[in-house]
Amino acid sequence: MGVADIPDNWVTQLRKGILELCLLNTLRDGAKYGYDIVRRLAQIDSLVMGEGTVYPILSRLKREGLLTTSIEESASGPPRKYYALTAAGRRSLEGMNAHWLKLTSGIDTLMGKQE
Amino acid sequence: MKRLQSKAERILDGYLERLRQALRACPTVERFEIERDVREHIEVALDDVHEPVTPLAMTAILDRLGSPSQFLGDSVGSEDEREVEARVREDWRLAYLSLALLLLAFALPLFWWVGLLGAFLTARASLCTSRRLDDPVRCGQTWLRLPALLIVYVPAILALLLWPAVAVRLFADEVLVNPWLAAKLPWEFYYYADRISALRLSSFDFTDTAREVLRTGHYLIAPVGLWLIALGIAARVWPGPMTFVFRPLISRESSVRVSRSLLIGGLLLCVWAGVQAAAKLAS
Repeated sequence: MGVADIPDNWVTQLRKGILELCLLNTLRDGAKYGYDIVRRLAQIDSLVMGEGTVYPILSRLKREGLLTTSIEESASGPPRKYYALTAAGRRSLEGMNAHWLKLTSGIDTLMGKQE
Repeated sequence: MKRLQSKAERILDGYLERLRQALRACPTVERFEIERDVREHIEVALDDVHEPVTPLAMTAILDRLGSPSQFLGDSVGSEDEREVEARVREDWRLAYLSLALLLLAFALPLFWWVGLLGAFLTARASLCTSRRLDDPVRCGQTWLRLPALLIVYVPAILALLLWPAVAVRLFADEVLVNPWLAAKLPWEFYYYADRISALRLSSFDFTDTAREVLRTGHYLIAPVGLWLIALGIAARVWPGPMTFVFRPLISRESSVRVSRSLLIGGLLLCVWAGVQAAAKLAS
C-alpha cells in the first residue's frame, strides 16, 4: 500500500490533530518568531501543507492563554513577534506529550500484534 | 519591505486582499493579528530574495503560505471551514446588479442620482464579497463594477484635490462684493481678491484658460499645492481611511505610492507658484 492509497480525509484529520502538538513542542526550548516556527514545522514531511495554517493556530493558542507574544527588533529585517509558552501552555504541553506517548505506544503494540 | 517589481506588488496586493476577505468571513479568529503575522512572514521570507523581488519569487512564497480561505478553514475546524467557503464564495450577482442600476440611471434621467447611488453602493458591496481580486474572475467583475465606481470616484477625487482653489476663488469673489468683509480685512486682501477674481478659469477656450493660469494662477496653485502636501502627509500617517474610501483604486500597499505622489505633486505646485510669484514681483 503506497501513500496514494491513504484516504485524503484521514491524512487531513490526522495532520490537524498533530500540528498543534508539534507547534507547542517547537516552543519547548524558548520563544520563537512565526517564520522560524513555520520553517521548523515544515521540516516534518506532510505536516504543514500551507505555511499559513500555523498562524490561526498560534492566534487561537494565544487567546486560550497557552502562548504569550512579545515584539523584538531584528538586526536583519522588520521587528518580529516572538511566541513563547506560558505556564499554562507548558503544563498543557506536558500533558499532551504524555498522552501522545501513551497513544503511540498503544498503537505500536496494536500494529505489532496485527503483524 | 524589499522593493518589489510592479507585477510582484500586484500579486502581493491580491493575496493580502484575499486574506482580508477570508478573515472577514471567519468570525472566530483574530483578524488583525493573523494579517500582521502573515505580513511579517512574507517580509522575513523576502529577506533571502534579491531586489527587486520578481513575480516568480513572490508567487513561490505565497504558494508556500497557501490559499487564505483554505488555511483558515484548515485551522478553525470543519464547521467553520464550510462557513468560510460559503461566505467567500464568488458571487457575480452584485456586480451585475451594479451595472444594471447604472444603466437604469442613464435610462431614467429624472432619477439618475438614485440609480447612480444604488450602482455605486452595490459595486462597493460586491467588492466586499469578492474573494479573488487578482484572477480572471476579478477582471470580469471589474468591468461590471468599474463604471459605477469611476463615475463617483473621479469627481470625488478631483473635488478632494482641487477644493482649495475653488474655496479661494469663492472667498475672493465674496471679498469683492461684500463691503463689510472688505472693510474688515487688510487692503492687500482686496488687491489679491481682485487679481484672483480676474482669473477666468471657466472659459471654453483652453489656451485662454491656460494663459490665465500661467499669468496669475499662482494664487490658486499655492493653496492646492499646500493642500496636496497636507493630504500626502495624512495619507502616509493614516493610510486606513483613504484605502477604505477609495478601494479598490487605492490599496494599503499602493497608499505609500499615492502619498509620495501627493507630496511630490504638492511640492512641485508650491515651487511653481513660488517661481511665478517671484517673476511677477521682479517684473
